[in-house]
Amino acid sequence: MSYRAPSWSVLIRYEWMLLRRGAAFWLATTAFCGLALLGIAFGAARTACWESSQETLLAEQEARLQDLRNRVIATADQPESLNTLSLNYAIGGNDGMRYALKPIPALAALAVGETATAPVHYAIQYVRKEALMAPPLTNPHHLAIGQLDLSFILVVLYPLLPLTLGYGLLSAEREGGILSLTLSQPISQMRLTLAKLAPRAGVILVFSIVIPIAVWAVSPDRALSSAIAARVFLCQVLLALYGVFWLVLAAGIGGKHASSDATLGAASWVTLAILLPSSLNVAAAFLYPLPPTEELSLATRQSTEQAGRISSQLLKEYFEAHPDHAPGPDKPAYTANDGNWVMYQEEIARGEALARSRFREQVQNREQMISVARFFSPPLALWQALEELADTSPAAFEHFRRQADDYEAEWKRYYVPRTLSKIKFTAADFDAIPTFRWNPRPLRVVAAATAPCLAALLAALAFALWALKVRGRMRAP
Amino acid sequence: MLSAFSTASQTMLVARHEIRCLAREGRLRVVGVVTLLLLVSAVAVSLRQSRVQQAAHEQAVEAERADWLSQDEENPHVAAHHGTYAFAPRSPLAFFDAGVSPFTGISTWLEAHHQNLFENRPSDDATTLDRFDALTPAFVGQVMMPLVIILLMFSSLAGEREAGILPLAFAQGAPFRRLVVGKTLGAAVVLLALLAAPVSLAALLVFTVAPVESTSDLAYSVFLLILLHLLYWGIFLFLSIGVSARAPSPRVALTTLFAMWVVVCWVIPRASVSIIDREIPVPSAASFQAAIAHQLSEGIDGHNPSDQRAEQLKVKLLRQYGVSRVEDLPVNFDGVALQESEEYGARVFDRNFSSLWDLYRRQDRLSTVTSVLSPLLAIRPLSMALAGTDNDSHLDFVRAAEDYRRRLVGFLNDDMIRNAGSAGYQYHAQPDLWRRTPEFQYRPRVLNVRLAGQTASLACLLAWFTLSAVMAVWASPTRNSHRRT
Repeated sequence: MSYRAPSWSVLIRYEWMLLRRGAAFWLATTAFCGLALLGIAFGAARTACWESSQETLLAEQEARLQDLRNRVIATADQPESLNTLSLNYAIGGNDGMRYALKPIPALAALAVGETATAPVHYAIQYVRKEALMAPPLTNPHHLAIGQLDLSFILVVLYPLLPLTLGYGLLSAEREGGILSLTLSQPISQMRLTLAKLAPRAGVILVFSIVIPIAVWAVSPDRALSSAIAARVFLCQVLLALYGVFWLVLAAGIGGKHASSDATLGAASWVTLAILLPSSLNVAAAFLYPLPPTEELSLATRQSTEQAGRISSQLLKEYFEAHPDHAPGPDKPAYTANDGNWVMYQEEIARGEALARSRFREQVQNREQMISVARFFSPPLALWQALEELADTSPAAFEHFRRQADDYEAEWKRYYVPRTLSKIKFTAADFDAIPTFRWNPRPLRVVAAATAPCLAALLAALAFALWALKVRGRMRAP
Repeated sequence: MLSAFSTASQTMLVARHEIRCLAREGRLRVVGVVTLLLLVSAVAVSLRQSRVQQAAHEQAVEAERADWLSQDEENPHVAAHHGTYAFAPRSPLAFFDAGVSPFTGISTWLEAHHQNLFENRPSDDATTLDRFDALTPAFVGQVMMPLVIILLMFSSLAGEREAGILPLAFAQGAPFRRLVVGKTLGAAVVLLALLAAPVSLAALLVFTVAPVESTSDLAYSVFLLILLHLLYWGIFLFLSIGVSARAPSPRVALTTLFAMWVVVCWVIPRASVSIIDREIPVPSAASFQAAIAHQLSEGIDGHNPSDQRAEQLKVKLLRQYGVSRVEDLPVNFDGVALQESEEYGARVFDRNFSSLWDLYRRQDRLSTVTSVLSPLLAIRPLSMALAGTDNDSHLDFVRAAEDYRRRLVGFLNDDMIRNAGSAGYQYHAQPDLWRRTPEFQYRPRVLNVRLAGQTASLACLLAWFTLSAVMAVWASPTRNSHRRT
């Protein structure tokens, strides 16, 4: 009489039945469902708040610009005078400033990221942009604690679900002596382990598929483009890989006793999800310390004084380079201060940008360190990928800042020559002032930023599977 | 007397036994080494940063004052627009608990007409790594130490029950409560031995970065910080003993305590922030600035003499001095108008900033209420207050800087009022005026003021300590319940 190995479906169905019978399964899945729902609800509330804030800004801008346009029309017949110049400065100043708004990304509820501290809008006018950027007024105490956002739940708390489902996978049976009996059948330990892992991985897969879809469903604008669908899919893949990595890790760290499995599982979670990223943070701060922030204020002071000294010289050079903009007999003479003021602001912005570059350099060094470190820390890789997909990563905000910079330059190219050469703004000129056009990051850029994270998670999973295989071979039932 | 002696000696016997058991276990060595490594690296890196920041602060203050004094002959109002920077001092204990400092900005520009927001926040240059908690000594003490305690204590009674030692102890007449007290004492001694050296060293090192005049304040703060953390660790010690006493096996004890740690140290603090932000929303920066701009534009504008309020002021002054022309006034009208503008602006800023800070305060009060769910939310504000890195300490500096701005601009306007005459904005003051301007000096709040607003958090921490101690003793199984198991 020959024994046939039980089929995969039999093994998996049997395991699924056992899994459902355990209280730990229901406790862990219910707790995680609750946490995920909480994270999604908080994310939805956050994006709704963001949306309402942007609507208020746009309404205010529309009313303000309409009022200014009426003033331009009302003064159209008046001869060019100092009042006209005041109107020109109003167009370039607070009355005519334009907002560069970062639109709410479709998966914004996924990760707070930079939205907690970085500006989501810039007010563009002839005074330098940086001075008018408005970081959120969040309670600093709350920033110190952090939000219970979905990225935190998925990166830090979610691993506890696969660890709970996967710990004691074989050790409970080993302790009870059932494992030897099972392995006396024509079935290998690896096959048994994989069959045990399969229903658990199924649970992980369900969560991985549902959560990104739920995040998209609560976004203010539920438009579904191929780019958004691709982001949702990428997110699903990343979550599945991350979850299965922890599941395999839970199975791999199994020892002889289920009680030691619990300790090892907790220790591995604390090490990988908490201590390692925190230690890497310390290492980054140690290796690439940022200059003291006092330097930025002092740089502003120095560039302000420098600007005060050379602004008239800069204006002279400007008129030499752009003779058509220079004041002539047919143009009303403004005071030198008017032109100097524009040059003065430009010079300050240049000085500040130079001081900022030292900080950016160190931040880039840290980013480079992260690009290597994520291969040793799956939580870091996932968090980075989630922020990229949610468009709330430092890179996504840098993309927005660059667009705001470009818009500022475009706006100034239009505004500054007209003001310096004393051309009075007409209603047609006013309507032709460039407006901010948002170009979302192309999907290929997002995919390129996410790909190394995906590779890091794949590598981590491959390593965990290899370790599981090696340990399985070494360990006698 | 004999009975009391016997009780004490039995308790000490249990404590000694617990110390021996913990010392024998490999777990203590692993946990101990990891904890010490974490603590030492956190202290070393934080102290290094603290020193660099302290030096940068001193240099910046000096450079800014030198810049102010180096102004040439200038109109006082131009000097008021030149302004000066106020740099927030770094508390010597910020190395232990950075608190809100990375998120508040380190300087503000003090200039005429405007109360500016603080700028140049260290958090502006965050990377993805900063999403994870920073490894500061406060993080190790408040988040990781509870886990260390749990890992050391989860099997203290549950393990003995599983090994069958507990019934033997009962059979020999060991009262359960004495057992609990003895085990708690033993574990406390082990923990103290583990932490005594790094904590003492860090406490001594902090005096090397502190100004001499604040030494006694600092000594009390360090003492209270240690005391409060001992109290906080005591909570987890009692909870661990209580759960270990009730749990049927060490595995159940560990799972329960670990889940409790995750909820108390990770979920509740962050969930409370998300809920409070939703319940008590703060205005967006755009609407906050727009409200101030709108209210200011409604008021007097010091640069615009055609302003309606300026006109009213002119009429009032002419009547007051009995003259018919501004030129005949014995004071400079521009200076008076500027000062009126400042005073009006001050009312606008006070109204708006006060309402923002009131919102922060309401949020913080609600956060204190949620500390009934997590002792971490009780110790965190206490620790930040003792370290001088809490919201109130920051707001105190903001108020002092704004107060100085108003005094400085008032001083310059006063010079213009008295000396500008008909020259108005063409009047140039001598450099001597810059030397006579008051220098900005800020004294951080003393300890009792810092702690005055923390009564609720302290009460909460004490309540947690008392309740967990009661739970450890009361939740312990009686002999009968043990026999049933």
